[in-house]
Amino acid sequence: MTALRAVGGRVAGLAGTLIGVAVVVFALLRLLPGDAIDANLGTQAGLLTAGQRAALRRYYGIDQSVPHQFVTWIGQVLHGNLGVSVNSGTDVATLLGSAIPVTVELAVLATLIGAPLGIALGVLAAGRPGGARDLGVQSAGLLGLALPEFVLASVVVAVLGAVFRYFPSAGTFVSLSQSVGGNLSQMIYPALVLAVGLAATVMRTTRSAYLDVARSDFVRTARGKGLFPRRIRWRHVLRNSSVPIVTMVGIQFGYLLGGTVVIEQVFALPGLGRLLLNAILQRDYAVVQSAVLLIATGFVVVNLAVDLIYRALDPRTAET
Amino acid sequence: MFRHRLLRAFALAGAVSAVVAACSPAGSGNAGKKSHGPLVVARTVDLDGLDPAVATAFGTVQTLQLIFDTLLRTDADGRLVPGLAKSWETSKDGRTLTFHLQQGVRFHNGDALTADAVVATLDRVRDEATASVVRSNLLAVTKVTAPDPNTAVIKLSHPDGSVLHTLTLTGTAILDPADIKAGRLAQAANGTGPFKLAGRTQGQKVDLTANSAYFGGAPKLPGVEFRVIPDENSILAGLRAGSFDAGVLTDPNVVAQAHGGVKIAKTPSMAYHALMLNGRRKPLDRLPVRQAIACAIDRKQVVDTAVAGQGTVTGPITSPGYHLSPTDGLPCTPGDAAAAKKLLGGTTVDLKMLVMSGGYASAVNEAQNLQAQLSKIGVKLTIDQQPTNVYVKRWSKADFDVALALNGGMSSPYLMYARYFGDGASLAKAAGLDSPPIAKLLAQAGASTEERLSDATVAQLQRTMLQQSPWVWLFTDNNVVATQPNVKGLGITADNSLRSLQSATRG
Amino acid sequence: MTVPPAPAAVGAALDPAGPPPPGRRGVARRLWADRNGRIGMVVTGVIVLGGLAGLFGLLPYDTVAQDVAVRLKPPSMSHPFGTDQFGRDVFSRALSGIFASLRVAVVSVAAAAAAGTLVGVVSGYAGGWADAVVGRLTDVLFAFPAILLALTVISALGRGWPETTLAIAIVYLPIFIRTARGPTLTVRNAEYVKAGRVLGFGPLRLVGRHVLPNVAAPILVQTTLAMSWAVLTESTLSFLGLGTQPPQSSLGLMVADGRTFLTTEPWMLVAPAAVIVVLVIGLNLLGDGLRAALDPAEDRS
Repeated sequence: MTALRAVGGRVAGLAGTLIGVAVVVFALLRLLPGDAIDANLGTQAGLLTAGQRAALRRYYGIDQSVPHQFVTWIGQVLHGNLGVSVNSGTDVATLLGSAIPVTVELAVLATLIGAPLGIALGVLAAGRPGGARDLGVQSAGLLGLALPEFVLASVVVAVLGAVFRYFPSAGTFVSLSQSVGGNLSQMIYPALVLAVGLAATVMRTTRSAYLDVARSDFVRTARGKGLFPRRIRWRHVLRNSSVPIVTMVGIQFGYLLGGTVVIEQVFALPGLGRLLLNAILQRDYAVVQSAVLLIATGFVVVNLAVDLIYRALDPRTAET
Repeated sequence: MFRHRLLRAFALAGAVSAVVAACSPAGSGNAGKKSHGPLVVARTVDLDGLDPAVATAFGTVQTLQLIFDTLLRTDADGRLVPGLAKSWETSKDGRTLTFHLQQGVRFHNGDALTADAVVATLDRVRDEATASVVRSNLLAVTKVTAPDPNTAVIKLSHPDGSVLHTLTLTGTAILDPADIKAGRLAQAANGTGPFKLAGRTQGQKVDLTANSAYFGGAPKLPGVEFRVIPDENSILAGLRAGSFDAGVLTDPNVVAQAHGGVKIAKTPSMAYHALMLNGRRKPLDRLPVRQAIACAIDRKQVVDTAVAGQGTVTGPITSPGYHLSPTDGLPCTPGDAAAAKKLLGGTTVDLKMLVMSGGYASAVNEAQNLQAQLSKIGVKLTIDQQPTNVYVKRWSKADFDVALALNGGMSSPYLMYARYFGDGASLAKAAGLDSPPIAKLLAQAGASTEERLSDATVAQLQRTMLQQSPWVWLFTDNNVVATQPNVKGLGITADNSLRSLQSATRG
Repeated sequence: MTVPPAPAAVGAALDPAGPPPPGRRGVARRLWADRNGRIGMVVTGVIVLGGLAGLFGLLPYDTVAQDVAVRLKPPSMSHPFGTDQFGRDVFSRALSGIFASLRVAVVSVAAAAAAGTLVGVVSGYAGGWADAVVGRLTDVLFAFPAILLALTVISALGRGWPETTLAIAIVYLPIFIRTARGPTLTVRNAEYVKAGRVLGFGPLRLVGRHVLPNVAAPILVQTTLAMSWAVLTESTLSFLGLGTQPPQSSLGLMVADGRTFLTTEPWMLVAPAAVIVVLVIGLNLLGDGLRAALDPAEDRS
């Protein structure tokens, strides 16, 4: 029962956090100098139909008091009116709808590649702490953390172009439903680049969690019982160090939902990050607002899921 | 860097077209080097609409030019040559233009072309409700009539030689009166041109088939397929891999790498890069200050650093066929810092430079080079990067000290600058300066009934513009089409036309 | 209620209930004794010296002036990192880029650390509704992935280095609040502090004597690590065109410019990229070393 109540508390907390997120997103763009939103509507008015302009005015709640604007805005968002992009004349929900699958797929692929790699390397390094292998893996991990994604991505794109005559191109993006092979051939390189940083982080977590468990009493006992080292390693140690590892993988996955912007930009993938970046550059505020709200919501939900898995894996946490 | 490469043809002057970067999937199958089937032409842009009267985007105009015909055309030197009108004459008083149409021309749907089509088309273009971009060029037209089926007559309120040049623009392409009546111009591309529209997939491709009944001779190619490939590196790679027969390139860095295995045809574009000075603000209201800035800038250096040498230094007039010195008229040789300093009189100047970001590839590099060059004479430029929509708004109001711009050019020098510096010009505000000497020359050129302004008239106009230095003209890009070696006779014109597809062959 | 796992798991919290941290001289000596710490100190020191050269203008060439005669020259004695497409010296630009990156990183992290410590300690010590509000606010800020929050702030503020600095400071504020609040809570409930309160010592004295010394160590470690993320974030934003604006040099901007020339003039990208990597590795090692030096429990590993 306490566990259930704790979960309920977390979900309630999530709702509170989301309201806070909405307030922050709203406030950030309402604190713009002058009436930038009005001005923006003016510049692009020629491009939008009267209906689209009305939808955008409703979305922003223009001409109302600030608290009223906030309530109107939330109401519109909950009713599915995410505004209209003043630069393309497309409604934001459609834009987000086509961008979400790209980013989610990228995050999933990167996690599927990076997490097992990071765990394997972490175990490898922790096998003999301080040894040559440990040093090698740790150095590689440090490099993986320090190498900015934009550098790695730029180099990968240049090599792909020079050697394989492959050039990323947003207009020729093939979605998963169109062709699995065609889609993977475009997604695999960006996913690999993302996986590097993720693997490095997971490796470090795995290594330290593994070492913590390996030093604990019950492993010493197991060793005393004469169990084979390999069996101890995989069966006992790794299983007991799974909590921080799973947590870290979950957190990293959540981060990828909002952190693929650089990769999408360099590889010209039509995902959420690129949509958001272009919207920021072109001051397409409705797109910025809705995209940020969506990504933050996804991130919070993923974090909640991680928290729940964490509880499931480690019953001790349920009591706090 | 992430620059939209779609915007080369961004003709700020006239209606500013919206930047639409279509991000939809496209097939990537190989057309191969097979000698049957359509000629596959890759380009970054798509066909956005079918109505010639409102077409502004570069890819749209380039496609519609193949489907429709205009009364007149220009040759490589900017001279008027026959189109749907096989001959024409101007009356002595310059107020009546008479056109004799080609015989036996049919629209793609089979309707015969008559002078009524000319009347209906031009009346539609002149109608404010059509919102045509060329309407403002036809303000001198009072009436269009068809005395007989093969003759069309245009009456003018005053002599205006530029009307003939306007009749070469895709905006005045001749339409089937039945389509105008039925209001289906946005749905049916029914022209008289060498190619017919056979199909299109938005964001992916446009299929054209040869019009075997074309009055100028049936095309030798069975058809043309335009493929939308948004990245020019991919276009070049695809050409090398044999996926396309031809590709339209605009990014100078890509063009610089296009050698070996592909043929390159290039023509200096009419669109020009310029530093616009706001002569209504201090201290740019003083002629010596503007001249000092014009004198300090070594144009060749801008071309070398900003576009990897892929450009041609130009003066104000980019209309083809006029061969003018790009700097004659300035009180110095450009790049001469000492002379520039002297003109400036030892003072220092701080200016903010409006620069478009995310528009065309070379903007920020040009800005940095200009900044470095001008700092040598004590002119300090601060770069103010703005996204396209903000830039355009401020550009049109001349809300800047100086602005780095890529403006569209035209085959008529008069049309090209009357809208900025002429009396009552529509873009007078954006021009940033009211210059009586330039306005006077433009008025004279406008009243001229010459079909093509004489070299002497244009040279004087260019000299005066350089002497007045309202802006600093820098360079034009090259319009480039790269082809497989077996494609013969395909070139690109200064206004990005691929009309040569009509006579091109593939071996 | 459990605190959701901090995104910055690299800087795992220290045990706040442990014995008081060693004195300043002790830290330096222990840092030097630690292999990671030693390498980190040296590497970071060298790069910071380069950045100082950029600050004081002690550079071989002007970073903005262009000399087309020496465009795109490979590394040589006169231009150790080669030149770019404007004939500018890449080495000089890299040094001034270090300064640009460090300026943003130092100012933003210092601001976040100072504000975060203040808020964390005050709310942790005061408890009650103030603490609840602060906790909720940090939760909200944590709900944004770091780069997303930075992008959002910049979209509202505009581009340029002060804006970037503020954006990064806001991003890292919640981490510092949490880092400071944890130990504060533990210390506040410790017997000796309770006793102090009974004896009538004021909160200022208790915080100064007992809370701050316990908060200082984790904050210091967090600061070093945050510096390395700040350098990465700044260069990422500049790479995207949202940070330092041309013609000022910035490491991220140099990488972005070098992309076009990567296959023909690789030094334009490699030099600034290498500087970023070395600086971030240095700061990370320094952070690891500091953690080891400040936490006696880590000695055994």
